[in-house]
Amino acid sequence: MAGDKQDLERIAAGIADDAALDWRLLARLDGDDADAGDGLRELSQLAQVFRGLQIRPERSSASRVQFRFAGLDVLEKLGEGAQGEVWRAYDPMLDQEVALKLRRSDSDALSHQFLAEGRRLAKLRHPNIVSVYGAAAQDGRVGLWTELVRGRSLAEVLESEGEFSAADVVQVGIELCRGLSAVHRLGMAHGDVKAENVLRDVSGRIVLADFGAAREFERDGLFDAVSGTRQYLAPEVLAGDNPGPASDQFALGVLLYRLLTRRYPYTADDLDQLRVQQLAEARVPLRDLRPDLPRSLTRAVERALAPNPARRHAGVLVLLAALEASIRPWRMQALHWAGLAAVLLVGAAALLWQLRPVQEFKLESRFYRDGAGTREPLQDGMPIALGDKLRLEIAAAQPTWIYVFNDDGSPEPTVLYPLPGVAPGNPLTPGTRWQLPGHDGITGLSWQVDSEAERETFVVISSPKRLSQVEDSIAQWRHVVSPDNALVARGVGRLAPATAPVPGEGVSLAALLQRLGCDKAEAALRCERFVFPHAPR
Amino acid sequence: MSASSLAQVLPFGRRNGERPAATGSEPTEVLIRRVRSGENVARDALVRRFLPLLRQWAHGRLPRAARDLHETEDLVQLALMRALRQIDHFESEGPGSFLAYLRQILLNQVRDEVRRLMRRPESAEIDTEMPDTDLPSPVEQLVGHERLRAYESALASLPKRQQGLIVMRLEFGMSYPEIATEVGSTPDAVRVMVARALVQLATALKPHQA
Repeated sequence: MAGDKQDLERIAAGIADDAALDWRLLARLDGDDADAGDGLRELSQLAQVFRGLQIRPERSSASRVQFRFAGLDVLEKLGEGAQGEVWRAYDPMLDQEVALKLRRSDSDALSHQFLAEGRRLAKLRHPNIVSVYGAAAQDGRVGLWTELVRGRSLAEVLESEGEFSAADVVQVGIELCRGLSAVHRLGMAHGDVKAENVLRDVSGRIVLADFGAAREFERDGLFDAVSGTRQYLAPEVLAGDNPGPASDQFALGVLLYRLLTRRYPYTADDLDQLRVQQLAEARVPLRDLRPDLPRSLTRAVERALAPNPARRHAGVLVLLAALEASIRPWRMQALHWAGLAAVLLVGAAALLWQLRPVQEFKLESRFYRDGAGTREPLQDGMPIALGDKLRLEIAAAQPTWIYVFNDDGSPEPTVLYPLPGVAPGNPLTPGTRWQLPGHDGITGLSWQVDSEAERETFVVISSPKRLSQVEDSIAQWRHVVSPDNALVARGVGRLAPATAPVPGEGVSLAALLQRLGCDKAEAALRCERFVFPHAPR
Repeated sequence: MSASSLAQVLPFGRRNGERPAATGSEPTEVLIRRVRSGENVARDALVRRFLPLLRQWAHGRLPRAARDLHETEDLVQLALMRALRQIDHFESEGPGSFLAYLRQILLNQVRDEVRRLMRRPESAEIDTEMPDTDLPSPVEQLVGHERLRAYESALASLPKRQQGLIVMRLEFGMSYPEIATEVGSTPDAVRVMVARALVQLATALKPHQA
């Protein structure tokens, strides 16, 4: 769209000017422009790094070196807490100013652990995670130095600007999901996601700071009534489990809830009481506090707050997809109602064209169940169970458009592929054995069975051509059915449709399949149905 | 390598009888043409124009082991020498593309240098605590190897002219008026061109998600 092009150029000019990144404008982009927007976000950061290298920090003259630590010139104290101090320091190797977090350490074991984790974090470079440059122990102190983020914490932003808009919360949520998934992929958890630890830098970038490495030393103080940390703890962590990806997701849920409402979902002072509240989900529903929010957004956030970790989103990337879907379809809404009739006509024409088989359409498709380190092919009819993770392997001899649905018999199926924000997208290129649903550039995703029905039916439509009819239906279903249908999850069919059923026929999956000509065995179209019964318990 | 002075490396001395010409504000395109026809004054002007920029740029791109002042100086001069020697082969793709070309030669030079250092036993002094890459430069340390590589390959996919605009603005930190002089345009027009080039680059950049 021309408007979007202009928006992109305006954002880009801001980057070139070294102005603050207009991230609200960025959040409004969709489709291909959203990808370009992600690219601009990245460029804005690279530009900052390049500029940092151009401007040589004024050394010694402007700030006196207070002392040295692990080769750093420590310049100025930025803050002090019960657990330690934060200093501004100059790293001569990087020729950059850094933030140095220092604390006393009396125990060798703790120092060792701290250093090990610091070094692991130092391998991670992600725009939404504070970059750790190094960790060292010296003179009875341990220190971790990171990029110096110039900005405010979300807690401060919330305090001064009030509750966040839906668009801002989605943006914050998406960026934190990206950052967290990079952490989780390293086999780590953050363990302390909270508004005080999330910074919005001057360019609008969302940065997650303060890792467990520093926190390990704060174990004693963990349950102190400081800065609301305990309100972010998941029930399983309160029960004694170690923090993990699922508890990070819970904490993120608490954070998003707080940004939307300025309050915590659970507020009991007593830890046992807090857990009781969590397990009973005794919180004010988001919809009551913010009736203006899209249903899909409140659902996505509240799902992250599920007391049972298995009932939360299957991973932060799934939460990301849900957040993204909650806000992006708005733009498409008007379009596909207006365009529906036209598209049907075009669709019919396209279909006629497809009837001429140019070449033989070759495709291999097979479902797999992922186990711990194993991969088991799933023949049609094999039983599956709650919690199973499924993937579809596709190998095509030509560029192929694939559409995967979960058909639970209701008029609107759950779209399992393609998914927003998930690669590879359509078309799949030949020469690769694609694993669907794909990946988000970080981890391979799978579909997880998260409800118990009698059976799961998957419908796979494949074609060497883009099927605009199918894509239009997908857009429509996304709007009509439920906000959650972009989730890489299952059991969505049980949700009641958010709006009245669509007038007219032809929107159901069955009708679509018929209209596509699935029953006519076209050479250039494949419609497959895989049925897996649920294993008896 | 020992420190080499400019006079040793580059033939700066003006021969008698050569007509000194104003070179300060001449577009690079014109200077290149004059260098090609053997004018040392123009050559001098080109070096003067780009040496400081390239020196600063190289500083951030070289690993610590090679960031000794003299080595940086040598490297940059070597790159400039090479560029000027091959100037007949340089095919302009519009104003600004010469800088992209220079940067590319220097980048290759930096890579050679890093390879050389890695073969050198002293490189063991590099901080083994930071296993990110073997010899990370500050830029790599700051943004990570993968991201830098993604940026470089996206940049390389753009037309040279756009590469030049981006490099001048983002990497060399030149102002719009400076770039305008370089490409023979106005600052306002340059701002728009840079923005468009950035959108192109953003589109070519595989969004970094890892």
